[in-house]
Amino acid sequence: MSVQATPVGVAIPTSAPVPRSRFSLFMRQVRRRPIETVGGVVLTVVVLTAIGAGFIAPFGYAEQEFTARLLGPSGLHFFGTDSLGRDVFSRVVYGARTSMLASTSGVLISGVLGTLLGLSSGFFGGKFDLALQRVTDGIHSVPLLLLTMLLVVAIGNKLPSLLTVAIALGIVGSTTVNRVIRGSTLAVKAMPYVEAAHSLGATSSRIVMRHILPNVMAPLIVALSVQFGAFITAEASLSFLGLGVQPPIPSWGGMLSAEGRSFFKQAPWLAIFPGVAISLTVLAANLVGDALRDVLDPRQRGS
Amino acid sequence: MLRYVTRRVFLMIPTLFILYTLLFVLMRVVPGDIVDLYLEGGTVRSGAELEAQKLALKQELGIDKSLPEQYGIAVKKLLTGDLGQSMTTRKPVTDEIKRRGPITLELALLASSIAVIVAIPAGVISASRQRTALDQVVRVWSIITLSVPNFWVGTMVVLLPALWWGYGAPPVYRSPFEDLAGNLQQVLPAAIVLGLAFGGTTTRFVRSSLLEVLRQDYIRTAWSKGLSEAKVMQRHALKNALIPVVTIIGLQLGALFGGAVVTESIFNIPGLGTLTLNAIRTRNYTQLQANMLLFGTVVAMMSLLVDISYAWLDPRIRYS
Repeated sequence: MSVQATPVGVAIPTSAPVPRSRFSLFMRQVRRRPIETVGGVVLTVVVLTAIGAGFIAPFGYAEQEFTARLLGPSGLHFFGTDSLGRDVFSRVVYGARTSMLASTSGVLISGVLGTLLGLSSGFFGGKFDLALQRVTDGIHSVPLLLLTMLLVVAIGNKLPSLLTVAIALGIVGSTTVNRVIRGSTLAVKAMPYVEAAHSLGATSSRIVMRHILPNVMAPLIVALSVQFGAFITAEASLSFLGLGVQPPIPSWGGMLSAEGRSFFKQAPWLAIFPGVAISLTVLAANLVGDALRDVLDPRQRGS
Repeated sequence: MLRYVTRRVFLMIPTLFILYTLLFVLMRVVPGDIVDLYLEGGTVRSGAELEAQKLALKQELGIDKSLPEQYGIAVKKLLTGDLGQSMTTRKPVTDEIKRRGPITLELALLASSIAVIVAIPAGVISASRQRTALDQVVRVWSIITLSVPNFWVGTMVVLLPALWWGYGAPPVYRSPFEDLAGNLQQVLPAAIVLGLAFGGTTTRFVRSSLLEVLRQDYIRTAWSKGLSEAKVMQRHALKNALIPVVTIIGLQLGALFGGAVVTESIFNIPGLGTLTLNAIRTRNYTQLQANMLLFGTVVAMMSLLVDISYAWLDPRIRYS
């Protein structure tokens, strides 16, 4: 048995060094992770559906036909119709748009806000850091879903409901991102290259932008990918409870809520298709998130 | 140890106080208070009379004063241990909490037990048979259970038996002390739905934590001593792997309360979750504050218990 003394991270020269393009590296990951790849494909389909909803849906999401109420799935109405005679398939298709809009804008807000707070908290420290972390602790001691509900109600109906949901998700989510970024910033700040930049006379803003930010990107992406899946569920849960996206805008969670509930026994397709859509999308988002974490965070590899 | 615990308990106070203040302000900027919701659509429609009624009711509830004044009064009361009266029932908010708390506690305990009972064996199987078909099955199962939203699983669990066998759980909640079977018919399905979702997350943690431990030198030593797989797993690996798992079970409690809001409303369980949801809907500030404070305290206590259990699970950890 030979003992290899190669330090971690140093490439061992192989007999035939193959130059690898980004594409071939990507394809290698695809071959290695078949399940995660399926997740990626599903998520891509959902995103494309969200973008092209107008072309895919055979009917408008609010289009009612009173002679066609509570019809079962058929060639004309793939997923049947609801109690108002609306085409469930079209509503599920438009629901993808609602879901993707709410979750991506939520993630965007959470990412920007959380990174700003976390970077300044970790880099400057002091009283601001102390105060912010206490507030974060306080927030994190109550169920985040309840807090999001409260924020949605607090913003009220001054803004479109979809935007309200996104803002509430973003603000609550930013407290988690803030924690992640603060921790990573503290770790990066202690690195010799940051000290070197300091001694060369680099300004604080240059150090933060050029040296710290790029090095906290990996944990940021991992945290945001986890949030993406969580936000899809959260938006659906809020709309399910009647506090999220308001009708007539179709939301997968809303389609499962009170309005349809009384008809579920008569028309089970009303309960099944939106639920399958949410579940598949969240599952796909989580699989992609897992793959991203595996690639970006080697410490967690294989977990 | 005692000093450590005392210090931690005292550190909890400012955190909870900040939480209380945040909620207090947030709720009072919410447009439309309970009085508006009460009187709008009532019998009195004329402007002046309606305003007079509103003012009287606001005075009665103590929400006619300015925000700082209200805050001052509330904090003074809080310091004497008085959480105030519910704005809907006009009884102390603690009445409802005492009545509904045990119901949610039952749900939470059942759900976490189910999560742990599923997660530990599944995680152990998955980690000890890493990269086998069995491991793949466990991994896919756990990511499915944590992805599928529990309100949909709950809806299906209520709907499908009704559809296939015409079965419905008893519509009214029954106390387990009066009618255990009737109680479980309603609470157990909810606990399973909630428990499986948390079991998914917990399984992943058991697996990754165990994989980490299985790479350690002392596990190799245990194998080379000739110990059986069961011995190596139980005596050496699992004991060490459980520490991070305890953390995650403890920290999931907050999310469990959040999940209870949704599952309770599907399964018609009159617990703290439905109470909180109603309090948000009716702008019942006092009840909402009290509930949130309770959630916050329980979560903070739980994370303290987690830290204490570290010292018990791992004698190397000492607090001073």
